[in-house]
Amino acid sequence: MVTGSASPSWKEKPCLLGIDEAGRGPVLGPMVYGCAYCPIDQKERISTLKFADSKALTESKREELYENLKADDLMGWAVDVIDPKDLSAKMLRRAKVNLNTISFESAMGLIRNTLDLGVFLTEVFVDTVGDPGKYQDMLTTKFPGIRFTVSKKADSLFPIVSAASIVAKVTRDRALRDWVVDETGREVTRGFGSGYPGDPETKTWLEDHVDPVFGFPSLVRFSWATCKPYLTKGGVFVYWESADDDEDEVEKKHKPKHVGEQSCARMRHSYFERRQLQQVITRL
Amino acid sequence: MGSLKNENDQREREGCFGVMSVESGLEGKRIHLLPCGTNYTGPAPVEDYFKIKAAGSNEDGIVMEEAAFRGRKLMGSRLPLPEGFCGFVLKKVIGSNNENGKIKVKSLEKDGFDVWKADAMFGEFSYWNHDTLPTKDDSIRSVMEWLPVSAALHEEVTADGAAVIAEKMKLQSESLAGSKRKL
Repeated sequence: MVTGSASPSWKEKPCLLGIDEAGRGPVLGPMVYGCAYCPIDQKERISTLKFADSKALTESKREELYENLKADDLMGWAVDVIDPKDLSAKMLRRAKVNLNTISFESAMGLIRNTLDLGVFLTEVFVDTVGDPGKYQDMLTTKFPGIRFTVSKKADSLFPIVSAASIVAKVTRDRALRDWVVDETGREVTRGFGSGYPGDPETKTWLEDHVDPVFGFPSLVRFSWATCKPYLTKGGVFVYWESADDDEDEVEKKHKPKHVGEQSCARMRHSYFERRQLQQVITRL
Repeated sequence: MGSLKNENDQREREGCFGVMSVESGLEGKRIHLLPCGTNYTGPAPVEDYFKIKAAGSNEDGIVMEEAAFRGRKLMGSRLPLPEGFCGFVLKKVIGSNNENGKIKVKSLEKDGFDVWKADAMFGEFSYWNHDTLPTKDDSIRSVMEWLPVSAALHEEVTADGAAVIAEKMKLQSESLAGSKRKL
């Protein structure tokens, strides 16, 4: 869902926009895409505002810069918060959607949202996901008339992308801090660490929060490979109707043999076949 | 025990593989049919984790609900059982006859027959699809259609009843012939 600043008074001036993301790697919490934009004649001033790659700043500094940005009449911003639940659902669909596609769509949504506010965008800077050349081509095709610069480390190269990275990072941190746990019945502690799969605190938290049947609370991205060993170890085996081609050997071994087999009763009338109805002819 | 064995054989010949035991005062439960399976049987904190949200209705007029299981988004709908039917959650226990002919539930009795003990009952259940919206063509819906058909097929027909049906069929074919003539 995209939220952001209102349509600005200077929207008819040529503007530049920067896009960056926060929380792409962690196994839990939302992934946030953020953008910041301003008239091109403000470019010089923006570079003096000390926006830097959000990861290079302290949390309090980020908060301060974020508040300054929001109060700046000559800057606009927007964020797209993608819940872990939505990330898992999309990536675990029958027709799986990968994380890059989700990222592209989110970035494009931010551009579209800004254009819809009537902002005259001429230049857009994006921190790349995957191959910069391909990404740039795709964006140029989608939005002819905008000059795109897609590059690695754009968040430290272009102040407008640094500003976007701060918007994204602060939004994600706040979302995690204010996270309302959907699940009940057991305490979900906040000690999940950075959420990065390698963080020992995150590992311990994951281990402590496995329910054998349901797995994790919906704060966790089930689609992350990180989750699998915890679910295998601490959870019961679950198999899905939709045939999974990336099933590993362990899963194949656990899957009951009858699953996916046709009804044992042959030559049943099509009425019953369609309904997958069969007589129970063996002692269960 | 010999007589029990014979009784078992007799039951199996009749197509009966056990006895259902339903006690009074069974708790009504909300039942979910998920598009996945597990090799686990036992309790689970369903209410704590399986959070259901209303999701409007679709073009078939089916009222939908949304939930998630193991990261998958599920779209579901409630399905009432046809009139005159009641659902039971059964648990198999091995039973054997005791002296006075009453069913006594025992476990792991070698020569015992199956006793299916009702744990809970339900008058409707929710079925859940992975990703796809519930539609009127879902096979589980048409399974429900079979129940009244099956009941009608197995209903005992008395001589009087047969006469009534014959009369009905006669009238139907006459009106059909009539409508054909009009065409």
